Formats: sequence, C-alpha cells, structure tokens
Amino acid sequence: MSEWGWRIDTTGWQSVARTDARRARRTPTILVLLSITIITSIGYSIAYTYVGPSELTFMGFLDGITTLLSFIIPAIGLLLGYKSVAHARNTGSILLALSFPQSRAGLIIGTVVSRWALLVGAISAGLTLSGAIAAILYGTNGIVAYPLAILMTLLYSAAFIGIGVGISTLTTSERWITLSTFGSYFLLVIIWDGLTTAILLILHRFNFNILASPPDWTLLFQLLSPESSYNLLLRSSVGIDVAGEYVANTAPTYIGWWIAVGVLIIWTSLPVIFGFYRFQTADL
Amino acid sequence: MTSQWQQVARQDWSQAVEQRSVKVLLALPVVIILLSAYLYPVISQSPITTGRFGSFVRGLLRVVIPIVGVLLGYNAIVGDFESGSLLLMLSLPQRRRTIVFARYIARAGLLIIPTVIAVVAGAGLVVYPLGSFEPLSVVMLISIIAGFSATWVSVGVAASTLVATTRRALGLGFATVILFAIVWDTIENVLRGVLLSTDIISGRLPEPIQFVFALSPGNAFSTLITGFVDTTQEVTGAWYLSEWIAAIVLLAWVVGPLAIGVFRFERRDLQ
Repeated sequence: MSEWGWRIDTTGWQSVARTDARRARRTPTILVLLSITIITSIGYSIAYTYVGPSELTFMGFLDGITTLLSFIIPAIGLLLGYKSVAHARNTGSILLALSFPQSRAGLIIGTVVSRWALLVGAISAGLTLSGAIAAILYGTNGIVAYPLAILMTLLYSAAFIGIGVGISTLTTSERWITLSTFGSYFLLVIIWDGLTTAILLILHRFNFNILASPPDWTLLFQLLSPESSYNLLLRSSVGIDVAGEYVANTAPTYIGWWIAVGVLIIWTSLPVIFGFYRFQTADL
Repeated sequence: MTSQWQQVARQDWSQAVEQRSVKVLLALPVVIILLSAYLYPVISQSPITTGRFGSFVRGLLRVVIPIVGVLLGYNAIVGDFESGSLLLMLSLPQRRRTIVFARYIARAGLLIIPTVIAVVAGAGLVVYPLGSFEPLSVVMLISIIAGFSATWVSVGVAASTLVATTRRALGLGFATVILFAIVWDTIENVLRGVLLSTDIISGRLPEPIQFVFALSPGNAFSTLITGFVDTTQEVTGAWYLSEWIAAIVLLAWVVGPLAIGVFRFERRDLQ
C-alpha cells in the first residue's frame, strides 16, 4: 500500500492477459465465437449481392454490415466475458492464479484486455477481409472511411466485453450470470428504445400525443445505450445513414459524438470497476 | 457522553432496517406519496403546483402516518423489557433516558428519511411534465410531514415506555391513533350537527370550540399545510386558529408524549 490509500495494485496484468489469451486459443467455445464474427463479416460481404438493394454500393454494404454487427457483437462480447472470472472462481483455479505475484485488480484488467484483444483480432480480420471482398465486388466509393468504421466497431465491442467481465466478477452463481447476461443483451440491444418510450409515456401520464414531439432528454436517454452510441458514431465518422434523429437540426446542441464516446467508455469501465469493488473483498 | 446515544441509535436502526415488517411498513407512506404525486396532475384541476399537491396528499397521510408511526414506535422499549435485554442494556453505563431518546431518534429517522425522499421524488413527478414548481412549498411540506411523522413515532415510543407488555403498548398506541385520527373529527361533526339542528349556532362552531378541536395532531397538520404549503388557500379565523399556533401545537405533540414517557420511565421499577 502506498501513501495514496486508493491506489489500486495492478501487478501482473500483462502476464494474466498473456496466459488468458493463450488458453483461449485452445478453448473450443471461444474459437467458435471468434469464428462466428469472422464468418459473419465475410459471409455478409458476399450475401449482400443477394439481400441488398438493386444498386449495390460499398456504402450500402457498410450500412448493412454495421447493422448486422450491432446485433452480433454484443452477444459475442458478452459470451466471451461472462464466464471468464466466474469459471476460474468456481473451479478454484483463481486461487492458484492469485498465489503468483498477481493482484486481484491485475487479474481482472488482464482478463478484460485479453478477451478484448481476442475480439479485436477477430473483428479486424473479419472486417478487413470482408471490406476487401466488398471493394472488389461493389466498388471502392467511400472506402476511405472504412478504417474508422472498424475502429468504432472495436470501441463498441469493448463495451460488451466490459459488461460481460463485470457480470463475471460480480457473482459466481451460474443462474445469476446467465440471467444478467441475457438480461443485459435484451435491455441494451433490444428494448432500450422501447424502454425510453415507456418511461416517457409513464411520466406523461399516457398522453400519447407526446410521442409525436418527444422532449430533448429522451434523445439523451436513448443515446445511453451502446447501440445508439455506436450508430451515432458511425453517422458522425463514416456518414452511414443511421441515427438521424441525433444529427437533425432539431436535436439539442449538447448531443454529439463526444457523448457517444463517453457512453461507450462508461459501459466498458463501469461494470468492471463495480465488479472489482465487490471482487476485491470477496471470499474466494 | 454524546457518543452513547449515537451507539444505541445506530444499533437500533440497523436492527430495525433488517426486519421485513419494517420495510413493508415504510413502503406504505412512500407508495402513497408517489402514487398520489403520479395521479394528482391527472385527477386534479389546474393550477397544478407542488403547493396544491400538499393539500391533495394531506388526507391520506393524516391516516397513514399515525398508523405507521405508532407501529414503528410501540416496540422500541417494551420489547426489550419483556425479553429482559433492557436490564442487561441498563447495566452498561447508560442512562434510561439516553436509551429512550436514542431509540426515538432512530425510529423517527427511519420514518422521516424515506418519507422525505418520497416527497422530493413526488415533487418531481408533479412538476414534470404538467405542474409548476414552488420550492418553498416543497421545503415546507417536507418539514411539516417530518414533524407529523415525529409526532406519531413519539406517541408510539411513549406508549412503549409506559406499559409492561408489547400488547398493551400496541393497544395504547392504537387507542391514541383512533381517538385523534378518527374519532376526534367525528365528535366535532356530531357536535356541530347537534348545535346546528337546535339552532344554537349557524354555520361554523364558535372559535374557542374550534380551537379545542384544532389541538389534535391531524388538525394541526392540516392547518399547517393550508397555511404554509398551499398558496391558493388561507387559514381563516381568530389568531389562535392560525398556522403559527398550529406549529406550536404540533411541536408540543412531538415533545409532550416523549417527555411524559421519559419522565415515567426514569422512575419505573423494571424488575
């Protein structure tokens, strides 16, 4: 302990990350998850010929693949993270890991880094290959922004790795882990917009006229989900035609890409930090 | 010396918070306040203000807070007396009055804190999206509800110090609730009806008699809300019917029962 009482000892996170990544390469489940990411990306670049509109363009492909990934990456990220720490705790191997010069914080940070690195590898590989295929098939108009789209997707994936690992550190009960993993996917990806509308309606005493002209704060609230933030980032960086309501002239000035970046960073770090404070003092 | 009552209060607080019955009990006023705040802008006529919300929620709180307050307080002392742990506690260097005060503060806080939070959240529900915000009225409403809650916990704790079994404490506490929260206004109405039908008075009761009936905590509470919270209403009548006198009445109801309880408890034979 240093003189700063709150300084967190992160010893050994590099070795944890390295070991975890090496072990993951031999775990079939993780390999399957990573392959799904790659195969979906590449598969879509070819399938776009059949499912896309009559006029096939690179931007249209980009629009389609980011929409697809915005549903798949949350699932992959959560599934990569959700058993990481809890499994080691349930089998007892975490005690062995901590008997090495590795701190608890180091263990969590290492796990987050390694799982995210795995997903980064899969997404980069998948998107690069599919981008190349798409460029050949549909032309290169708009390809300059493609690296930015990959970057935003990586940021988006970090949020769900954070949530997954956070859940994993919070509890060891199998039931709770499964429930909160599915719960967070359902809440953050599927029903968030519906939830915003529901809260708006409840506060306005079910006056349905309000839905025609919702107040400004609903936009901000909607943006708090990783998916909306991802879409807004894609809109502001790449110019894909999504999340139009945030960049419209009527949108309040305080809504912008910086909030979206902040939201994704918060979703990455907050579950991990919260989980860590429980984990720090947990009896293993 | 000061830390002694804090220890007793903290221990009593943490024991009470864990009980499921206490949670249910405290949820009652919270739910009522929030539900009233939610429905008030829809049901009531305009203007919708936080001040008029005070008058809206008054009627329900006049019934609920006495019951919850007495139920929170009646077990404070007598439960430990029955089980014998009170004598053990008093073998520690603590005065009897310290224990009574500490437990009173713990239990009053237990009722006041969730209620205050509920009023703040309720004010938010009233203001957004239909109402207008009157900051002073919210502050006054919070203090008046806190005072009213403190009154009835005081009655409950006093009942707890005066008798030997929890059953009697409950009986005494509820007798007070029924007398002042239910029967009191009925007596007033009956008296007024009789006097009206015999043509002794026309309209309202004579003001001195009104003052006698205004002495109940519930009526003091209502007068305070009319006078300090609701900006569209005014307290009328002689000076002794004003809201300032009602504030003194309510204060007396906080201090009075507790003082009687402490005074008796200090002299009681607990063996």
